[in-house]
Amino acid sequence: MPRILLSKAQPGQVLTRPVTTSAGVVMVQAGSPLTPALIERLTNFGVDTVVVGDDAAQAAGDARPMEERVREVEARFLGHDQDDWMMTLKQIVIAQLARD
Amino acid sequence: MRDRAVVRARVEGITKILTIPTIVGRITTMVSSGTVSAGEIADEIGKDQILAAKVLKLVNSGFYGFRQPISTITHAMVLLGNDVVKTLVLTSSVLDIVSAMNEHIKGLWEHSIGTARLAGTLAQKTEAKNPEEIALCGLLHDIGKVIIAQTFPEEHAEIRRTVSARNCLQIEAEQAVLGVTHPEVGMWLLKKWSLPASLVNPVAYHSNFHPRRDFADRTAIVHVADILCRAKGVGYAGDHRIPALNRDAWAMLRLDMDDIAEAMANLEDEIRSGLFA
Repeated sequence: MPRILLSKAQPGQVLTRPVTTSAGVVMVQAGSPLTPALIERLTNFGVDTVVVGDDAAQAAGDARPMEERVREVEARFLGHDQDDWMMTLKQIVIAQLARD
Repeated sequence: MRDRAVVRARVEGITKILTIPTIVGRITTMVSSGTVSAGEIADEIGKDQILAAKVLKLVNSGFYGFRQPISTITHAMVLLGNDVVKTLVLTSSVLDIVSAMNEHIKGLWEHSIGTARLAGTLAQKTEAKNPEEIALCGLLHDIGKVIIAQTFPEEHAEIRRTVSARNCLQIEAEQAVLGVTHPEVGMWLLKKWSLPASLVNPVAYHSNFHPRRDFADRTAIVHVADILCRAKGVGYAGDHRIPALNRDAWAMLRLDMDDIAEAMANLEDEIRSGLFA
Protein backbone atom coordinates (compact mmCIF):
# COMPACT_ATOMS: atom_id res chain seq x y z
CA MET A 1 0.00 0.00 0.00
CA PRO A 2 1.61 3.27 -1.04
CA ARG A 3 2.10 6.32 1.13
CA ILE A 4 1.03 9.27 -1.00
CA LEU A 5 0.89 13.02 -0.67
CA LEU A 6 -2.42 14.11 0.79
CA SER A 7 -2.72 16.59 -2.08
CA LYS A 8 -2.85 13.61 -4.49
CA ALA A 9 -5.36 11.58 -2.47
CA GLN A 10 -8.72 10.96 -4.14
CA PRO A 11 -12.15 10.71 -2.48
CA GLY A 12 -13.17 7.04 -2.36
CA GLN A 13 -9.69 5.76 -1.51
CA VAL A 14 -9.49 3.99 1.85
CA LEU A 15 -6.92 4.68 4.55
CA THR A 16 -4.94 1.48 5.10
CA ARG A 17 -2.99 2.99 8.00
CA PRO A 18 -4.41 5.28 10.64
CA VAL A 19 -3.56 8.98 10.47
CA THR A 20 -1.78 9.91 13.67
CA THR A 21 -0.45 13.07 15.25
CA SER A 22 3.29 13.36 15.76
CA ALA A 23 2.68 12.12 19.31
CA GLY A 24 1.12 8.94 17.90
CA VAL A 25 -2.49 9.75 18.80
CA VAL A 26 -4.85 8.31 16.19
CA MET A 27 -6.80 11.06 14.42
CA VAL A 28 -8.49 8.88 11.81
CA GLN A 29 -8.73 5.09 11.95
CA ALA A 30 -7.46 2.81 9.22
CA GLY A 31 -10.32 1.59 7.06
CA SER A 32 -11.89 5.06 6.85
CA PRO A 33 -12.83 6.09 3.31
CA LEU A 34 -11.49 9.47 2.22
CA THR A 35 -14.17 12.05 1.53
CA PRO A 36 -13.65 15.60 0.24
CA ALA A 37 -14.49 16.89 3.74
CA LEU A 38 -12.02 14.54 5.44
CA ILE A 39 -9.24 15.46 2.99
CA GLU A 40 -9.88 19.14 3.73
CA ARG A 41 -9.81 18.52 7.49
CA LEU A 42 -6.55 16.58 7.27
CA THR A 43 -5.06 19.34 5.13
CA ASN A 44 -6.03 21.88 7.77
CA PHE A 45 -4.39 19.69 10.40
CA GLY A 46 -1.11 19.91 8.48
CA VAL A 47 -1.07 16.22 7.46
CA ASP A 48 1.29 15.77 4.48
CA THR A 49 0.91 12.14 3.54
CA VAL A 50 -1.52 9.25 3.97
CA VAL A 51 -1.36 5.52 3.22
CA VAL A 52 -4.24 4.41 1.02
CA GLY A 53 -5.52 1.45 -0.96
CA ASP A 54 -8.75 0.70 -2.71
CA ASP A 55 -11.59 -1.50 -1.52
CA ALA A 56 -10.68 -4.37 -3.81
CA ALA A 57 -7.13 -4.54 -2.48
CA GLN A 58 -8.43 -4.46 1.09
CA ALA A 59 -10.74 -7.38 0.55
CA ALA A 60 -7.88 -9.53 -0.75
CA GLY A 61 -6.86 -10.59 2.79
CA ASP A 62 -8.68 -13.82 3.64
CA ALA A 63 -11.11 -15.08 1.04
CA ARG A 64 -12.69 -17.82 3.16
CA PRO A 65 -16.36 -17.50 4.13
CA MET A 66 -16.98 -15.54 7.32
CA GLU A 67 -18.69 -18.50 9.06
CA GLU A 68 -15.57 -20.61 8.63
CA ARG A 69 -13.30 -17.90 9.99
CA VAL A 70 -15.56 -17.34 13.01
CA ARG A 71 -15.60 -21.11 13.69
CA GLU A 72 -11.80 -21.09 13.63
CA VAL A 73 -11.74 -18.27 16.21
CA GLU A 74 -14.28 -20.14 18.40
CA ALA A 75 -12.04 -23.23 18.31
CA ARG A 76 -9.01 -21.20 19.43
CA PHE A 77 -10.88 -20.05 22.55
CA LEU A 78 -11.72 -23.62 23.57
CA GLY A 79 -11.70 -24.00 27.35
CA HIS A 80 -12.08 -20.28 28.11
CA ASP A 81 -15.90 -20.11 28.16
CA GLN A 82 -16.01 -19.20 31.85
CA ASP A 83 -13.41 -16.44 31.53
CA ASP A 84 -15.06 -13.04 30.93
CA TRP A 85 -11.82 -11.39 29.83
CA MET A 86 -11.19 -14.10 27.23
CA MET A 87 -14.78 -13.90 25.98
CA THR A 88 -14.45 -10.13 25.55
CA LEU A 89 -11.22 -10.73 23.65
CA LYS A 90 -13.00 -13.22 21.41
CA GLN A 91 -15.68 -10.62 20.62
CA ILE A 92 -12.94 -8.15 19.66
CA VAL A 93 -11.31 -10.67 17.32
CA ILE A 94 -14.63 -11.55 15.66
CA ALA A 95 -15.61 -7.89 15.33
CA GLN A 96 -12.30 -7.18 13.61
CA LEU A 97 -12.82 -10.06 11.16
CA ALA A 98 -15.87 -8.20 9.97
CA ARG A 99 -13.76 -5.15 9.07
CA ASP A 100 -12.31 -7.01 6.09
CA MET B 1 11.17 -37.87 29.95
CA ARG B 2 14.77 -36.77 29.84
CA ASP B 3 17.23 -35.76 32.51
CA ARG B 4 17.07 -31.97 32.94
CA ALA B 5 20.81 -31.61 33.31
CA VAL B 6 21.37 -33.49 30.05
CA VAL B 7 18.83 -31.29 28.25
CA ARG B 8 20.42 -28.15 29.66
CA ALA B 9 23.94 -29.22 28.69
CA ARG B 10 22.78 -29.84 25.14
CA VAL B 11 21.04 -26.47 24.97
CA GLU B 12 24.08 -24.68 26.31
CA GLY B 13 26.25 -26.48 23.80
CA ILE B 14 24.09 -25.07 21.03
CA THR B 15 26.42 -22.15 20.34
CA LYS B 16 28.66 -24.78 18.74
CA ILE B 17 25.85 -26.35 16.77
CA LEU B 18 24.45 -23.01 15.63
CA THR B 19 27.92 -21.93 14.40
CA ILE B 20 27.33 -18.29 15.18
CA PRO B 21 29.99 -16.43 13.21
CA THR B 22 33.05 -15.25 15.12
CA ILE B 23 32.15 -11.66 14.30
CA VAL B 24 29.00 -12.02 16.44
CA GLY B 25 31.13 -13.13 19.37
CA ARG B 26 33.44 -10.15 18.86
CA ILE B 27 30.54 -7.71 18.71
CA THR B 28 28.95 -9.26 21.79
CA THR B 29 32.19 -8.82 23.71
CA MET B 30 32.56 -5.23 22.51
CA VAL B 31 29.02 -4.33 23.58
CA SER B 32 29.42 -6.06 26.96
CA SER B 33 32.70 -4.27 27.69
CA GLY B 34 30.83 -0.97 27.83
CA THR B 35 33.98 0.95 26.91
CA VAL B 36 33.59 0.78 23.14
CA SER B 37 31.72 3.52 21.30
CA ALA B 38 28.64 2.93 19.16
CA GLY B 39 30.67 4.03 16.14
CA GLU B 40 33.32 1.37 16.72
CA ILE B 41 30.72 -1.33 17.11
CA ALA B 42 28.95 -0.12 13.97
CA ASP B 43 32.28 -0.31 12.11
CA GLU B 44 32.73 -3.89 13.27
CA ILE B 45 29.24 -4.89 12.11
CA GLY B 46 29.87 -3.01 8.86
CA LYS B 47 32.89 -5.24 8.12
CA ASP B 48 30.46 -8.07 7.50
CA GLN B 49 28.30 -6.67 4.71
CA ILE B 50 25.85 -9.55 4.82
CA LEU B 51 25.39 -9.21 8.58
CA ALA B 52 24.99 -5.43 8.30
CA ALA B 53 22.38 -5.89 5.58
CA LYS B 54 20.47 -8.40 7.70
CA VAL B 55 20.45 -6.15 10.75
CA LEU B 56 19.24 -3.20 8.67
CA LYS B 57 16.58 -5.36 7.04
CA LEU B 58 15.33 -6.38 10.48
CA VAL B 59 15.37 -2.78 11.70
CA ASN B 60 13.45 -1.60 8.62
CA SER B 61 11.07 -4.56 8.41
CA GLY B 62 8.19 -2.56 9.88
CA PHE B 63 8.92 -4.26 13.15
CA TYR B 64 9.99 -1.05 14.89
CA GLY B 65 7.59 1.14 13.00
CA PHE B 66 10.04 3.91 12.16
CA ARG B 67 8.62 6.36 9.68
CA GLN B 68 11.95 7.03 7.96
CA PRO B 69 14.09 4.19 6.65
CA ILE B 70 17.25 3.58 8.66
CA SER B 71 20.20 3.18 6.36
CA THR B 72 23.20 2.94 8.67
CA ILE B 73 24.11 0.71 11.57
CA THR B 74 25.23 3.75 13.59
CA HIS B 75 21.79 5.31 13.17
CA ALA B 76 20.16 2.02 14.25
CA MET B 77 22.38 1.89 17.34
CA VAL B 78 21.54 5.45 18.33
CA LEU B 79 17.82 4.80 17.96
CA LEU B 80 17.64 1.34 19.45
CA GLY B 81 20.52 1.19 21.90
CA ASN B 82 23.52 -1.12 21.99
CA ASP B 83 21.77 -4.02 23.70
CA VAL B 84 19.02 -4.09 21.11
CA VAL B 85 21.50 -4.03 18.23
CA LYS B 86 23.55 -6.74 19.89
CA THR B 87 20.44 -8.88 20.20
CA LEU B 88 19.50 -8.13 16.59
CA VAL B 89 22.92 -9.39 15.54
CA LEU B 90 22.36 -12.55 17.55
CA THR B 91 18.80 -12.90 16.30
CA SER B 92 19.79 -12.53 12.67
CA SER B 93 22.32 -15.33 13.19
CA VAL B 94 19.67 -17.56 14.73
CA LEU B 95 17.33 -16.73 11.85
CA ASP B 96 19.89 -18.04 9.37
CA ILE B 97 19.47 -21.41 10.98
CA VAL B 98 15.72 -21.02 11.33
CA SER B 99 15.29 -20.09 7.68
CA ALA B 100 16.58 -23.52 6.72
CA MET B 101 13.80 -25.11 8.75
CA ASN B 102 10.25 -26.17 7.94
CA GLU B 103 6.93 -24.37 7.59
CA HIS B 104 6.16 -24.99 11.24
CA ILE B 105 8.99 -22.64 12.20
CA LYS B 106 8.02 -20.08 9.58
CA GLY B 107 4.70 -19.70 11.40
CA LEU B 108 6.61 -19.32 14.64
CA TRP B 109 8.57 -16.39 13.19
CA GLU B 110 5.33 -14.62 12.27
CA HIS B 111 3.96 -15.34 15.75
CA SER B 112 7.13 -13.82 17.20
CA ILE B 113 6.92 -10.69 15.04
CA GLY B 114 3.23 -10.29 15.85
CA THR B 115 3.88 -10.69 19.58
CA ALA B 116 6.77 -8.24 19.34
CA ARG B 117 4.61 -5.57 17.67
CA LEU B 118 1.80 -6.06 20.20
CA ALA B 119 4.31 -5.91 23.06
CA GLY B 120 5.70 -2.65 21.64
CA THR B 121 2.19 -1.18 21.38
CA LEU B 122 1.23 -2.27 24.91
CA ALA B 123 4.54 -0.89 26.21
CA GLN B 124 3.66 2.50 24.73
CA LYS B 125 0.14 2.38 26.12
CA THR B 126 1.43 1.59 29.61
CA GLU B 127 4.12 4.26 29.21
CA ALA B 128 6.79 1.69 30.01
CA LYS B 129 10.42 2.66 29.54
CA ASN B 130 12.26 1.25 26.51
CA PRO B 131 9.34 0.05 24.38
CA GLU B 132 11.83 -1.10 21.71
CA GLU B 133 13.49 -3.44 24.18
CA ILE B 134 10.12 -4.78 25.31
CA ALA B 135 9.23 -5.44 21.66
CA LEU B 136 12.50 -7.34 21.39
CA CYS B 137 11.49 -9.49 24.37
CA GLY B 138 8.35 -10.32 22.39
CA LEU B 139 10.45 -11.24 19.38
CA LEU B 140 12.58 -13.59 21.47
CA HIS B 141 9.91 -14.99 23.80
CA ASP B 142 9.59 -18.32 21.94
CA ILE B 143 13.22 -18.74 20.93
CA GLY B 144 13.25 -21.85 23.14
CA LYS B 145 10.86 -23.46 20.62
CA VAL B 146 13.39 -22.88 17.84
CA ILE B 147 16.13 -24.39 19.98
CA ILE B 148 14.02 -27.43 20.86
CA ALA B 149 13.21 -28.02 17.19
CA GLN B 150 16.88 -27.68 16.27
CA THR B 151 18.51 -29.54 19.15
CA PHE B 152 15.96 -32.29 19.80
CA PRO B 153 14.43 -33.14 16.40
CA GLU B 154 13.02 -36.50 17.51
CA GLU B 155 11.43 -35.11 20.67
CA HIS B 156 10.18 -32.16 18.66
CA ALA B 157 8.37 -34.52 16.29
CA GLU B 158 6.90 -36.28 19.33
CA ILE B 159 5.83 -32.90 20.80
CA ARG B 160 4.04 -32.07 17.55
CA ARG B 161 2.30 -35.44 17.53
CA THR B 162 1.23 -34.91 21.15
CA VAL B 163 -0.15 -31.42 20.37
CA SER B 164 -2.17 -32.80 17.51
CA ALA B 165 -3.45 -35.84 19.39
CA ARG B 166 -4.47 -33.93 22.53
CA ASN B 167 -5.17 -30.51 20.99
CA CYS B 168 -3.16 -29.12 23.91
CA LEU B 169 -0.73 -26.21 24.23
CA GLN B 170 2.78 -26.91 22.93
CA ILE B 171 4.21 -26.09 26.38
CA GLU B 172 2.15 -28.94 27.89
CA ALA B 173 3.46 -31.36 25.28
CA GLU B 174 7.04 -30.15 25.90
CA GLN B 175 6.66 -30.90 29.60
CA ALA B 176 5.28 -34.36 28.84
CA VAL B 177 7.87 -35.31 26.21
CA LEU B 178 11.03 -33.43 27.18
CA GLY B 179 10.50 -32.66 30.87
CA VAL B 180 11.51 -29.03 30.27
CA THR B 181 9.68 -26.23 28.48
CA HIS B 182 10.61 -23.62 25.89
CA PRO B 183 10.72 -20.59 28.27
CA GLU B 184 13.33 -22.40 30.35
CA VAL B 185 15.29 -23.50 27.27
CA GLY B 186 15.19 -19.93 25.93
CA MET B 187 16.43 -18.63 29.28
CA TRP B 188 19.39 -21.04 29.26
CA LEU B 189 20.42 -19.93 25.80
CA LEU B 190 20.05 -16.18 26.43
CA LYS B 191 21.98 -16.45 29.70
CA LYS B 192 24.70 -18.34 27.86
CA TRP B 193 24.80 -15.39 25.44
CA SER B 194 25.24 -13.06 28.46
CA LEU B 195 22.12 -11.03 27.74
CA PRO B 196 20.84 -8.87 30.63
CA ALA B 197 18.01 -10.03 32.94
CA SER B 198 15.85 -7.27 31.42
CA LEU B 199 15.76 -9.35 28.22
CA VAL B 200 16.08 -12.82 29.78
CA ASN B 201 13.31 -12.64 32.42
CA PRO B 202 10.40 -11.84 30.09
CA VAL B 203 11.45 -14.79 27.91
CA ALA B 204 11.93 -17.06 30.93
CA TYR B 205 8.63 -16.24 32.66
CA HIS B 206 6.14 -15.26 29.95
CA SER B 207 4.16 -18.46 30.64
CA ASN B 208 4.70 -18.48 34.40
CA PHE B 209 4.16 -14.91 35.55
CA HIS B 210 4.75 -13.75 39.11
CA PRO B 211 4.36 -10.04 40.01
CA ARG B 212 7.31 -10.02 42.42
CA ARG B 213 10.00 -11.17 40.00
CA ASP B 214 12.44 -8.67 38.50
CA PHE B 215 11.15 -7.07 35.30
CA ALA B 216 7.61 -8.30 36.05
CA ASP B 217 6.20 -5.24 34.26
CA ARG B 218 7.68 -6.20 30.89
CA THR B 219 7.08 -9.90 31.50
CA ALA B 220 3.39 -9.04 31.98
CA ILE B 221 3.38 -7.20 28.65
CA VAL B 222 4.92 -10.15 26.79
CA HIS B 223 2.49 -12.56 28.48
CA VAL B 224 -0.54 -10.53 27.34
CA ALA B 225 0.93 -9.83 23.87
CA ASP B 226 1.43 -13.57 23.33
CA ILE B 227 -2.23 -14.23 24.19
CA LEU B 228 -3.43 -11.43 21.88
CA CYS B 229 -1.30 -12.65 19.00
CA ARG B 230 -2.68 -16.18 19.33
CA ALA B 231 -6.22 -14.87 19.72
CA LYS B 232 -5.82 -12.98 16.47
CA GLY B 233 -4.44 -16.07 14.77
CA VAL B 234 -1.26 -14.34 13.54
CA GLY B 235 1.42 -16.91 12.69
CA TYR B 236 1.57 -20.29 14.38
CA ALA B 237 2.99 -20.78 17.88
CA GLY B 238 2.97 -24.58 17.59
CA ASP B 239 -0.62 -25.28 18.67
CA HIS B 240 -4.17 -24.06 18.09
CA ARG B 241 -4.97 -23.07 21.65
CA ILE B 242 -4.63 -19.89 23.74
CA PRO B 243 -2.99 -19.99 27.18
CA ALA B 244 -5.02 -18.69 30.14
CA LEU B 245 -4.63 -15.05 31.12
CA ASN B 246 -2.72 -14.44 34.34
CA ARG B 247 -4.85 -11.94 36.30
CA ASP B 248 -1.88 -10.44 38.14
CA ALA B 249 -0.16 -9.75 34.83
CA TRP B 250 -3.27 -8.07 33.44
CA ALA B 251 -3.72 -5.99 36.62
CA MET B 252 -0.12 -4.80 36.35
CA LEU B 253 -0.74 -3.29 32.89
CA ARG B 254 -3.61 -1.05 34.10
CA LEU B 255 -5.22 -1.13 30.65
CA ASP B 256 -8.81 -1.72 29.56
CA MET B 257 -10.33 -3.73 26.73
CA ASP B 258 -10.53 -0.66 24.48
CA ASP B 259 -6.74 -0.46 24.66
CA ILE B 260 -6.60 -4.14 23.68
CA ALA B 261 -8.98 -3.62 20.75
CA GLU B 262 -6.81 -0.72 19.55
CA ALA B 263 -3.61 -2.70 19.85
CA MET B 264 -5.13 -5.55 17.82
CA ALA B 265 -6.47 -3.18 15.15
CA ASN B 266 -3.01 -1.63 14.98
CA LEU B 267 -1.43 -5.01 14.31
CA GLU B 268 -3.97 -5.67 11.58
CA ASP B 269 -2.99 -2.38 9.91
CA GLU B 270 0.69 -3.21 10.19
CA ILE B 271 0.17 -6.62 8.60
CA ARG B 272 -1.77 -5.04 5.75
CA SER B 273 1.03 -2.54 5.30
CA GLY B 274 3.49 -5.36 4.74
CA LEU B 275 4.84 -6.33 8.16
CA PHE B 276 5.66 -9.81 6.84
CA ALA B 277 6.58 -8.70 3.34
